[in-house]
Amino acid sequence: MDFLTLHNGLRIVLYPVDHAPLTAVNLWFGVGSKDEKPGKTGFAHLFEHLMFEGSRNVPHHEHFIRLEEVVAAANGSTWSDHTIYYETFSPKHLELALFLESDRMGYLLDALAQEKLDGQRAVVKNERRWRVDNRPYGIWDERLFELAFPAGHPYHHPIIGYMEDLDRATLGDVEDFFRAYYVPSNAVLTVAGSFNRAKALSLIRRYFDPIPAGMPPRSVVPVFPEPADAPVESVITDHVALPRLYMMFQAPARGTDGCVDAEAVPHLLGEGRGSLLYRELVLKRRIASSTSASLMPAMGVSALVATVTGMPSSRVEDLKAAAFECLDGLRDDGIPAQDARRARTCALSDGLLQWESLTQKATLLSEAVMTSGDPEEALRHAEKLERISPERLDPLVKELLGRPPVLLGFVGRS
Amino acid sequence: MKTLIPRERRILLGPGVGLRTVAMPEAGLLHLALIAGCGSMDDPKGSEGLTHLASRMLFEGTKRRGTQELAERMEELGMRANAEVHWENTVFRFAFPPALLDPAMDLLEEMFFEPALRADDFERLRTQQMSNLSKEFKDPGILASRLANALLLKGTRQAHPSRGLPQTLERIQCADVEPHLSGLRGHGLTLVLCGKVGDREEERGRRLAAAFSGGVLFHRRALRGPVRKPALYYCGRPQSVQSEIRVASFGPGPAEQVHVPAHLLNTIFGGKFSSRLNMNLRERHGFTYGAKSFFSERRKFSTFTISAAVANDVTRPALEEVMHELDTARDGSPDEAEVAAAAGYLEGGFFTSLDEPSRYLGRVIAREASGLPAGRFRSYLRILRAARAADLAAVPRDFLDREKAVFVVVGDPHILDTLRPLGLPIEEVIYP
Repeated sequence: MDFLTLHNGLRIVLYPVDHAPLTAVNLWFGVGSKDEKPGKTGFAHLFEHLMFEGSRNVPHHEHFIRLEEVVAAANGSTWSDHTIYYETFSPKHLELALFLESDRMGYLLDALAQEKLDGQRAVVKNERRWRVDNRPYGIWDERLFELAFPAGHPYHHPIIGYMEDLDRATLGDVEDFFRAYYVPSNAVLTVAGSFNRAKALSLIRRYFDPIPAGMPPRSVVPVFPEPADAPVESVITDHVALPRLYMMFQAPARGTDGCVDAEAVPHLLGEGRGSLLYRELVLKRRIASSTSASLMPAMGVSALVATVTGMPSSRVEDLKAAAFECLDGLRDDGIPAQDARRARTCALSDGLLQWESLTQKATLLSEAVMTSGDPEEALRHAEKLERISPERLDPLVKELLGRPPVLLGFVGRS
Repeated sequence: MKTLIPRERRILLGPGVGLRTVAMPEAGLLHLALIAGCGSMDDPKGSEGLTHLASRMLFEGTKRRGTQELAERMEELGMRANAEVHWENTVFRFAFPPALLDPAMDLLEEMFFEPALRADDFERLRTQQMSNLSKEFKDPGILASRLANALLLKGTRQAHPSRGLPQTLERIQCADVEPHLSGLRGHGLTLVLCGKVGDREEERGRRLAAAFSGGVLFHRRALRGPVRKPALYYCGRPQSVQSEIRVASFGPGPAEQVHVPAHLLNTIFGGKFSSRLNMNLRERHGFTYGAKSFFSERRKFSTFTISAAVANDVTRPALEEVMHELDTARDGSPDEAEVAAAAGYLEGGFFTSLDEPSRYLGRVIAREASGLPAGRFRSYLRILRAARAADLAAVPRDFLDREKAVFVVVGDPHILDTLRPLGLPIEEVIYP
């Protein structure tokens, strides 16, 4: 593996790997919804859409058209801390991928137009309707984060933004955002898979070296909010058939060893049929139809969200009482060693599965550079998962379940 | 550089039972698929959903372990598992670390051949499944897709969701499961192993597959129903902020000569981001986050579906644009550049499925479930590389003919009157 920095600050990872005849490119920018200005929520994501609308040497709509002639897997995604762009393709198309990424990284504004902004604003508003407003339980993460983080905190608002804020975005905002955050020193470019190292490096230098360094970004670094004294709770009436309870717990920040250990915790709590909540609420008490849990890693503080979906006749308060009887028991009595080992094996299996994909490998390498400055951290991840033990999990779970959670219930409309 | 298509071995183990091994040495897990020749077409009339329930009962404990113990044992082995019931088959998929091959295969044998089938577990599972159904039908996207399928295939044995309907699940008894299991683990079964497959893995695969010999030949072949008169079916969902649009029709089967050209035509029409449909509805008009079209294949035919969620106030213009694109595609001929771009996209899609063993396995499963030969992938790529606009001229355009399609809209009642000028007869439906 090679890790180098261009004179303009762009960090490069080259990871040749024995895999299927494919190459993956990942371009990771250290900017996300946490960096949005008040009243301009959803902007980082709207900006991501504009990155596919053409740049100085790529006419409008040509970005996807040219990629789709040779590549099927290409997209972007916006998160609270970062935004990524990626494509996976036959090795002979490496130059096209690097050219397209470099042109929008360096020269997006040359092709910016009001028509493009308006078009993508309409698309994003429809995305919000589809993902959030018209879908049962669709608003869960928006409400949960609003409850968990005070107004003004970088994680308080939804990544997709509020409708009225999307209407406020202007071309001036696009220009400011691009100049502030889409600079080489705020990005990591990873190339993984089948490629010739010297040729790849030469192409990278040809396309990315001329991009001006720009000003170093002033990224927001979110901090833990003051813990609440008691659980924060809310109930929403929605177009749902089954009541559901979301429980959100604060977990260690992305990039820490604690965050790696926390990857096993969803399997302990509610993910999978062997997890505590599934065993107790679905199999034994039969008051729930399903459970789930997942870790959402982030820079300032990660979120661990467990979900219990009831039966048609269940009440949210009963689901809550039963769930916390189980979780309090786990916190107070400790984790049975067998459960801890099982959770570790599941986390290891997740890690192996994730590492099977070249696209994921490139993403994880970029992430490792952004969080630790060292791409090798991505290769050490499996070793760290191996180290998970009852002794490591017990204090983590005690701390995680010891803080007052944020609770959000859903009940059906009558 | 490695060969493009992973090396595959096909081993016939007995009448109707086969083993396929797919070498993907970079895989971190061993992936296993069991394709059983029994699907929701085999549900007895009035007991729709039985195949689905029977497949789930295999996860509800064995004669040696209870439900919880079985679930815990699977997780101890780092095993990921799921079952999907399709019309003509049921696919069980598992993945686990290769180092745990022996205990994992022992557990699968136990699960398939010593299921507990306890009445108490069955009652719980059935209640769970009925609850899940009621949850899914509240989702307007799922509702629209299932309604379009039910209307297109009305009068056939494929008009119900594979998970059944609340009223049919209610009728199914635990005693119905055991006889039905002989279809799920009997004749017509294919086992696929994908990953780092060596002698040990193959030997264990042979042993597991051989255990499935015998049993009952269940599977019926799905047949398409009659083409219905064109109509727009409207299903009300008060307070919706978007309309879910589906347009469904019949398309060619995977073994037909025109299969690949039809896929090229669909790719141009609505099968990729830069398709005509998406560029029109999303990029030109901003009506939707995305509009797409796709085939769902059975052995003898496919269903073709157009799907988009659009804002309430543009439901009619969006449908008009869909109709315009259908007419253009039915009556016109794509140019060479469009065909070359579509072929490049499909070839790229084949390439990128190699990115993850589980995705490539999905392609192998689809091929096996359609009864296509092992050489299918090479011929698919060969046809794509040689594709010309003239090849598409031979494709029957029925699937693009709006006179032969079912239109479905699920949305707010206020939009109903705005749809009348479309000129299609409108039928209001309540579903399920």
